[in-house]
Parts: sequence; structure tokens; C-alpha cells
Amino acid sequence: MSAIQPRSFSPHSFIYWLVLGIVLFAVLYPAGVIILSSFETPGERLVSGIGLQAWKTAFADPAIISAIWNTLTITLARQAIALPIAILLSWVLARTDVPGATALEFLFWLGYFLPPLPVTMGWILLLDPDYGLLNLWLTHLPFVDRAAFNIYSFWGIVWAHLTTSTIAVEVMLLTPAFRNMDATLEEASLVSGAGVIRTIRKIVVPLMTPIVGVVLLLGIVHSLQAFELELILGFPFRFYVFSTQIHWLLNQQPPQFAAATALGSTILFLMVPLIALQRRGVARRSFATVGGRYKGQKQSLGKWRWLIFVILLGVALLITVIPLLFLTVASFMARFGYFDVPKPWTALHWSRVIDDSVFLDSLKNTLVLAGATALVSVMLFTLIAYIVIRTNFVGRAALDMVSWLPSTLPGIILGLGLLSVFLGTPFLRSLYGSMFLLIIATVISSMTLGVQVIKGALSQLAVELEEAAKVAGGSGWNSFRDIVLPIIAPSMLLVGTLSFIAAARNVSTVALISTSRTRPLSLLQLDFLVESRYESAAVIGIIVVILTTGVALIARLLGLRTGMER
Amino acid sequence: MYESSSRRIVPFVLILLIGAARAECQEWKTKWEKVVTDAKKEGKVAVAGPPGTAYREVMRGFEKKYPEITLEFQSFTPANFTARFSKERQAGQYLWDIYVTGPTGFDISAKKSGDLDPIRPLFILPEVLDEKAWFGGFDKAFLDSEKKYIFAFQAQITPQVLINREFVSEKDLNSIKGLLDPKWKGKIAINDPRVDGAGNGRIALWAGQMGEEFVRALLKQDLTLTRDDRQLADWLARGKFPIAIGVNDTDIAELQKLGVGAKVEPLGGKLAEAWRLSTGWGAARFVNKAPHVNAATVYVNWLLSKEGQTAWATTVSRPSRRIDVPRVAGMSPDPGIDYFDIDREERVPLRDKAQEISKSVLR
Repeated sequence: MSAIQPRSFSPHSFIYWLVLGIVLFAVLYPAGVIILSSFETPGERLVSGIGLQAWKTAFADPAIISAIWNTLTITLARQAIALPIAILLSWVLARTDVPGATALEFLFWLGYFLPPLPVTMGWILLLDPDYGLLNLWLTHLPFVDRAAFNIYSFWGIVWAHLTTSTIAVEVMLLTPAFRNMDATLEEASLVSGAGVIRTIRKIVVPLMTPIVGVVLLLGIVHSLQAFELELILGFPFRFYVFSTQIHWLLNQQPPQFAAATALGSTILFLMVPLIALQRRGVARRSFATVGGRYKGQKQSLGKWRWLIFVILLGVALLITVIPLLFLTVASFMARFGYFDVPKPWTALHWSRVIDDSVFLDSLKNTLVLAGATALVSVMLFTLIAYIVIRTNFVGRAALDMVSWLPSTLPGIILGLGLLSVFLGTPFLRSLYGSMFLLIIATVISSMTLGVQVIKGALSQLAVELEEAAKVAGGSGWNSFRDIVLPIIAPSMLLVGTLSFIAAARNVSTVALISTSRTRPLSLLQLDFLVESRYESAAVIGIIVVILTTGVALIARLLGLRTGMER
Repeated sequence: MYESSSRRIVPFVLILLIGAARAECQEWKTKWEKVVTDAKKEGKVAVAGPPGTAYREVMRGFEKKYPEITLEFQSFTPANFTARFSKERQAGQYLWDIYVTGPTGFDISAKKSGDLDPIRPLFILPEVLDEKAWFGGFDKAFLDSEKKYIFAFQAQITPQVLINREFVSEKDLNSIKGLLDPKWKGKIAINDPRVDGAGNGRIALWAGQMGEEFVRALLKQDLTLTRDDRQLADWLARGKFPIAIGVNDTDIAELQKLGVGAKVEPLGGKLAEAWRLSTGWGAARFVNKAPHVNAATVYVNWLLSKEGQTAWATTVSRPSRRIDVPRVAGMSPDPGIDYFDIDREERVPLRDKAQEISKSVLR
């Protein structure tokens, strides 16, 4: 792939260096602090020396071996199931004439917005081996004499993950990329007699390698850090994963921060070679699918059109409508899951949340935090992705690698690192406790996903388009504004939406940096969770979903105008 | 002669005593007025407190009483506060005045490292210092060995084990020791005792009262673990596990209000091994190098006053250690019983031991 050459010491190169400097400072500094702190020896005054004690503590627990094994197997199972399904669904949504594709795609977005905990409670209600409603119903069948499903099992955890976020987010990430694929390639394959599945396998997937690779890597990172569901569903049968071990260390008294950062750093060290491998894999050839002869025409599904629509709707219902129903029901039940009590329904949880003295301030803070995070993320991540994909800037590989690091660190560990940076940097220290630092923290937390999504879109765009614009006399900015921006706009809007929800839901990082004046809704939700008031927490979950859906709808309307329906 | 001189001395002594009392009264009043004036000049007090909406609401009472002093109250889990506090201290930032939470490992390390100052000198109001106002006496409310750093103002009795009588009759099981019967294998759930919390506190109490052998045998009863209070309460109420150790009694009370788990009750009657005295989240500490010493003084005196503790007991629904505030049904300690208080500093080795045993048995 040829790249646009920046002139030396041009304003462009100044911007590139500035971006590199900011990203290195914002990511490498906390990451470095985290790695160093894993070598600190706890003492009376928190740190008394340097050594390997924390690493020994972290890996001394015999449960760590099974936790690593469990993490690997559950990650493999999740991705082995989710990725092929997501590829197929995304291809159908983006590349075929399936009815209601736009609405169906939005259902997957909605599925991702739902908070996982109440949804998991819903699955427990259906699939608990002793009192699960679905299990009880099934025992009425003549050939079923005991619980058919057990949510407290390996496959129960996999199921909960697939239906809460894994498939939904992968469809969200892949669909815009599939939309940018040139239809002539598929047409050629189909005309030459290859079926749909073979076309997807031989044409679509290889062309989509960069974005599929990124989605897979993000999925792996996500799996390595997931712990909420494992804690609820895995603990009862003593199923521990890597992240529950980190959680365990942080819940010791006193908390074993150094050992937890040692485990957290391990994820970082494990991911770096994978990220390098992925970079190397995609750097060798061009994956541009949007060029001068781009044809966005959709494939006709013919007589299968409605059947495929029904299947797609079924999947969307399973991962969106049913969980949404759980969430809504939870918010209106006196206690979720108890239908046979005298007064099962109430609006008390809604009034408890809305009447809470900090609700309005928290709502305002969430809107400011998530809105600003979305805006900054879109601008900064587009710039980073552009530098990485479209320039020959010497620091572009470093920029790309570094942008991966935030996602490899568990939220609370990243929060600890950022806390050190904010307190250890004089010009930031004066801003300690302000909303500004919260925004920086949530932008950094969203960096990997945001940069990779826009990178994926840019790598699909042939450089010849911008070169043609320049030959025609357009400036670099003009070609970016008139050629690049309209094509990558759907991805940018997706990034804005994802950053918005990530910031609105962030607890682990935000809890360490916020103050009573900047506390967002996610911390109010944490208050309810600590009190075991899951129904009130579900109300906040719904409010966040409504806010994010509003943002997503605006994003999609803008996206549709800028070419989503190409 | 003797009689006449004593007649003259008694009134003299009385006058002296009244004078001393008035002087003392005058002394605390003067001191208090000065502190309040200085606190108003400081303008705010920074309090770190436990997570939960009710705790935040309690503090509103202080803002109403002292509107000139802004209360910056922030909720933290113990791990989050420890992390934040240590990083701030490393950077030379001294931002907190008072820390209210349950007894945690933070207490020991912060006391050793000098990050806590004695809270005792902050108590000025006579109603706070009143020996008779506190369950077991004023001194007994201090959890630390020195009796000056960590003041536990909540005293709640919690059952060690709850049992659902819908599934297990009294005839089958009516004592803590009975839990070791092999027939209860796989029927018991517990709040994970390997980390600090409700499960660990209970195991520690038994380790102290009934010995390590009992604890080890109990942990080998194929216990099901959870770290989710709600899950544990649901399991017990539905009978998935009819015996539960370390259940949050508020969760059960809420279920019972709905008519679920009506037959859930404490196991073991009034026996000492069946109950523990718990501080919950209710203990206050004065942070070293506090930026608002006077405002912090006003705050703790309000919190520990009858007014503050009434707000605590009624809003949080957790019993105060003060005996002149409303009791919380089923949770307030009975003055006639000598409860085993696992939260005291001298019992820390017992809690550590309980964790160690739990970790070794519950792999």
C-alpha cells in the first residue's frame, strides 16, 4: 500500500509528533507505572522496596494454573462460536438484500448497550438447574426428567457471554467493514459457481482479514478481562479465571495491588506478541476494497430472503429483545424473579433512583463525561488511525502498538496507573478531581477499540482516491474532507457511540478518579449494586441505554446520510 | 465542734464542685464554639465513606445542621479508597479528613505508617463522651488496641448461620455443631471466607470459639461459595441451599417483607457461637494531615451525637452503639449477652488464620 508522504517539518509532521507525544505520555506512562509497581514490595508505608515478591504472590496460588487454563478455554469457546456467527450475520446485514437490515443491525447495537449483570440475572432465572423457569417448563415434557440446562457451568458462562455482548459487539464492528467491500469480488465468486458459504470463506473473510483480526484480538482481550459473569456464574462451581484472580487479590485486606498489577501486566505481555503478529499479517498486502471502481451493490438472497430474515430476527431477539425484557421486568419487580409474591410489581425502584438527591447531578455528569469522551475519541482516534494507515511517519508503528495497550490492562489497574500519572504530573495535579481528567481517563480506556475500528475502515479505502483528488488540485484537507470522511463516517459514528457507552458505564477507572462533584451515574449504580438493589441498578442501566440509544440513533441518522446505505 | 465545722465544709465543697462543673461546662462550650467558628471559616470537610445510597443520605443531616460547612462526601469500596489514598499520599496530597468504613486491613497499615491521627481528642460534646451512652461503655467502642484511633459507632448482632426451616426441620438441625453431620454435605452455601467479609468473619469467630478442628471439618462439608450477597440470600430463600453462612440479613428481611423465605431463621438459638457482634461499615477514623481539622471535629461530634446516630440507625437501618437512639429490630445487641466481637484489632490474627485455613481447604 502506498502512503501519503508528509513533508519534513511541515505542519503535518508537527501534528504527527504531537499526537505521538500525547499518546505515548497518556498510555506508556501509566503502563510503565503499572509494570514498575508490580515489582514493588509492600511494606509499612505501602512500598518498602523492589523485588519479585508480588509476582511470586500472584503466581503462588495453586488456583492460578486452572484459572489460566479456564481463561484460555472459555476465550477459545467464545470466539470459536461468536466470530463465525458474527461474520455471517454481518455479511448478511451489509451485503445482501435481507429485509429490514438497518433495523436488525440496530437491534444488535441495542444488545450491546444492555448492562450485563441484570441480563445475567435473567438468564439465571430461566436456566438455574433448581428453579430456572425454562428448566421447570421443560420437565413437563414426557422425555425430560431433570433440568436440561445449567447456567452454573462452563457452557452456561459461554452462553451468557454470547448473549450479553460478544456476538452483538462483533456484529457492530464487522458490519460497517463489510459494507465497504467491493461487490464485484463476491459477484465473480458467485457467478463462478461458489456458494454463499464458500464465497464468504474464500473471498469475504480473506479480504476482511484486518478487521476480522482486530475483532478477534479485541474479543480475546475482552475475554481475558471479563470477570462479572464469571464471578456470579463460575464461583458456585469454583470456576476461576485470570480476571477473577485479579479481583481476588484486590479484595484481600490489605489489597494486594502489586500482585494484582503483576497479573494485569501479564495480560499486557501476552497480548503484545499477538498484536505484533496481527500487525505483521496485515502489513504485507493491501486490503483496500473501496477504490475508483467500487461497487456497493448488494447480493440478492432470492427465495431465501425471508427465511434468512426470520433466522436473523431470531438471533436478534435472543441477544437483544429477551435481555431487554429481563432488564425492563427487573426494574418494575419488587424483587426480580419472584413472580408469585402478593405484590410482584412496583415503580418503587424508579422513584428511588429519580428521587435520589444525587441523581440529577450524576445524570448531568454522565452526559458531559460520555458526550465529551465520544467527541474527543472520534477526533483523536481518527487522527491516530489516519497517521498509522495513511502516512509514512516514522512513529506510526509505535503509535499503532501503543494504542493497543489500554485494552490489555484491566480497568482498575489502568485506573491505578492513571491515578499515578495525574498525581505525579505537576500540570495535571492541579486538575485532579476535575471532569477534565475523567474525560482523559475514559478516552484512554476507549482508545484501542476506537483506533482499530477507524483503522479498519481506512485500510479498506484505496489511497488512489485521495491521490486523484490531489491531482485534481485539492489540498490534503480537502481530499480528507471530501473523499475519506464520507466513507469512514459510519465507522467514526460507531466509535463515537461505543466511546459514549463505554464512558457512561465505566466504573473501575472512574471510581478511582471521580469526586463527589464529578460522580457519574455509573457510581450511583455501583451504590445500588453494593446494597444488593439490583432492580434500582437496572433502572440506571435502562437510563444509560436510553441515553446511548439516543446518541446511536443520531449517529446512525448521520451515518445513513453519509453513506451507510451505499 | 466537729459537727459545726462539717456543716461549714459541706456547702464549701458543694460550691467548689458546682464551680468546677460549671467551669468544665464552660470549658467545653468555649472550646466547641471556637471549633465551630473555625470550622465555618474552613468551609468544608472531606469525608470518605462506605458505598451505598443510605450512607450518603445520612450525611445530609450534617449539611442541614451546619449549612456553612460543605460536606464533600464520597463513597468508596475499601480497595478503591486504599488505592486512591496511597497514591495521593505518595504525591504529597492530603485531601481527606475523616474516613468512615468497616474494620479493614487499612486500619493496621495506616496506623503503623502514621497515616491516622488519634480521633479521640476530637470528641468534645459531653453527649459523645458520655460513658453511659454507649453499649459496653465508651472505651469499648474503640477497635484499636490503643483505644484512640478507630471508633466503632455501629454495633449490630448478626446470626452466624441462617437456615430455611421449610426445607430443614428443627429436629434435624438445631445447633452449629450439627452442621458437621455428613448429611448436610452439599447443602450449605457460604459468603467466600477466603477474602475479608461476612464469611471470613464467621469462620474467624468459630476458629476462636470452637477451634480450628471444627472450622476445618465444616469447610470440608462441600460448601458452595459466592461473593454475591444477593445470590446467597436468593439461594437460601428458594431452598437451593437451605443453610447459608454469612447472609446479609437485610437481604433476607427484604425477601421476607415480600412473603418469601418466611421460615428463614437463625440457627443455634441464643448460644454464643450462633451470633457475632459486627461493626458493619460504621467506624470512624481521623486521617493524618487532615486539611480541615476543625470541620472534621464538628463532623465527628455530630456523627456520634444522639442526632447523628439516630439518623444513622433510622436511615441505614443498622443499630448504633449508642443506647439512647432507636433500636433496630432483630439487629440491636442485647445488653445481657457478652458477644464475641471479631472486629477488634487483637482479633486480626484470628481473621488472618481463618483466611489461611479457608484458602487451604477451599481450593
